[in-house]
Amino acid sequence: MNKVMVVYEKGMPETYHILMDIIRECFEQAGLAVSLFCMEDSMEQGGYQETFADAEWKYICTLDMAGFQIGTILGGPRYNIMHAKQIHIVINEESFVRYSDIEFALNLYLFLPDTMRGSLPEKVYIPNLSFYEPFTTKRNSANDKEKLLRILESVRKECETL
Amino acid sequence: MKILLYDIGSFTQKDLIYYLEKNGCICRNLLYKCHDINHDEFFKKKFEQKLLEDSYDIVMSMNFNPIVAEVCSKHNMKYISWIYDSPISTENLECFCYPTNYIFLFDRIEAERIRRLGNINIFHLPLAVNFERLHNIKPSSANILAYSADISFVGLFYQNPLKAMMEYIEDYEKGYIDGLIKTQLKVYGYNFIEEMLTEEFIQKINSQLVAKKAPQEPLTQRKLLTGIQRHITHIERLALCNMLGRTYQVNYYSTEQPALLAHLQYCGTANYFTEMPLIFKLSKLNLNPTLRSIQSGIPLRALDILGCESVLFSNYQPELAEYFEDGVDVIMYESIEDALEKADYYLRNEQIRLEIAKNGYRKACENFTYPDKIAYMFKTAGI
Repeated sequence: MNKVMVVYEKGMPETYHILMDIIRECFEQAGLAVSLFCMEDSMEQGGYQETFADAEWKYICTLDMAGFQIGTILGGPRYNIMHAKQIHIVINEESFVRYSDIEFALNLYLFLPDTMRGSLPEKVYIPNLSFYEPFTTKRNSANDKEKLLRILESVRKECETL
Repeated sequence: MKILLYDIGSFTQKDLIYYLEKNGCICRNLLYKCHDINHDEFFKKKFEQKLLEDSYDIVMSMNFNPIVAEVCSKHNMKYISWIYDSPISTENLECFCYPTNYIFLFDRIEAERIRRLGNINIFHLPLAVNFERLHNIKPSSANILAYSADISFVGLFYQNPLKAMMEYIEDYEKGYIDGLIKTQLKVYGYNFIEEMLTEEFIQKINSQLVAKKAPQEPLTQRKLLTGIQRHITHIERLALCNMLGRTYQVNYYSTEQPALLAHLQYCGTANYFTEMPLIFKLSKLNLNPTLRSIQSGIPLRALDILGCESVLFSNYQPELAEYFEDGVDVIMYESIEDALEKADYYLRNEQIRLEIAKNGYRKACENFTYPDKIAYMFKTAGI
């Protein structure tokens, strides 16, 4: 279980690659093998099941809820029945809106930008919810790098010491 | 009352929470799929953390989780679990015995077996169905086109479960197991395989596995029994779908697509909440051969069908026969031949079929409601 899957949507903004490079670097430095996985509109749900079913993923990291459209027969996201510890970072608030009423399993860690504080429906309970100061998504931004590393480390620290 | 619920990702969790909240309870649901239900340090710590974050009155779950039981025992918290799976793994027997546990099991025979194992708070309790949710699902004209069928089957086929277990076993023992399978296939309502798998027989098989340097772990009676029961279910479901599909329009919804059923309409998987009720409502007969490890209980799927005011076409099952009359409220067959004859008769008699659907629904409404079952669990647990 030394594998990490970083999931992104095909049409994501170019600037997100800056963040993905930092994520990759962070996990690789910790001795984990990182695979990038692109969600494509044309690919049917079944096409993802095999990749998602791999029990070897130790961590899954997504940007803007990529892959949450892959569901189970109960209608919830496939991520909820995966064993990997997960870091879901929302950058664009709108990407969260369509999933704002779903349940999040105990091994899913959700990070929302500070600007979304107080905007979540009261009824929704997210077991691991944190807010962060939005990224600038500018190349070589030391600030972004530091913020992102803090997010990843907070999850790794909790999951590996729990 | 404040309840912390653990959710394994069960079909019935939403319905349970709906009725608990309707009853005035405040519910917090923790969803997590354990990789190993007996050992998961992450879950153990995380669950304990969440339990201590608030002041809960009880913990509840559908199915039993040993880690939840252990954490609840540690904090002297009552833990109510309502089991809809069968068989139950009792390898970790200690966790069943905590006095904080109140375990409710839908299969009477299995509940009695577990009770005999030790000082366990285990009770028999049939499952329930959310009639309100199902009643509100109305098929559209597009649904009618998509889901109408003479016969539908929604479920698994349990492909080749026994093959790997049998690989290193000698022909004589293989023949013995084969004989048990063929005989049990013809018998409904009484499961004799467990008593035929004696300690001596299991030892003999295990010595063969050792002699042949088989890579698998030694077999236990429970493991072999479950493998055989699944295999019988596999044969029975395949045979029924195959034969019925030669005469009638049979649609099947499953994660598996057996080659033997190439002549049938494979419809993929069905979403439990949105599609399955429509399938049941738009099928003349809903085939539901019980998983053979369920010895006497009424499976959840059977109640799902009845709750849709649809015709349940099931094998004879003891607890089903306690509540429902064959040919009046449900259709029960006692052999594959009987199933074929009954399918033919009821597919040609629409009025009788409609009456059966109505009667089955009425009896299900009288006997399998969440409020009644929840009240029973709370009363039994002294809440």
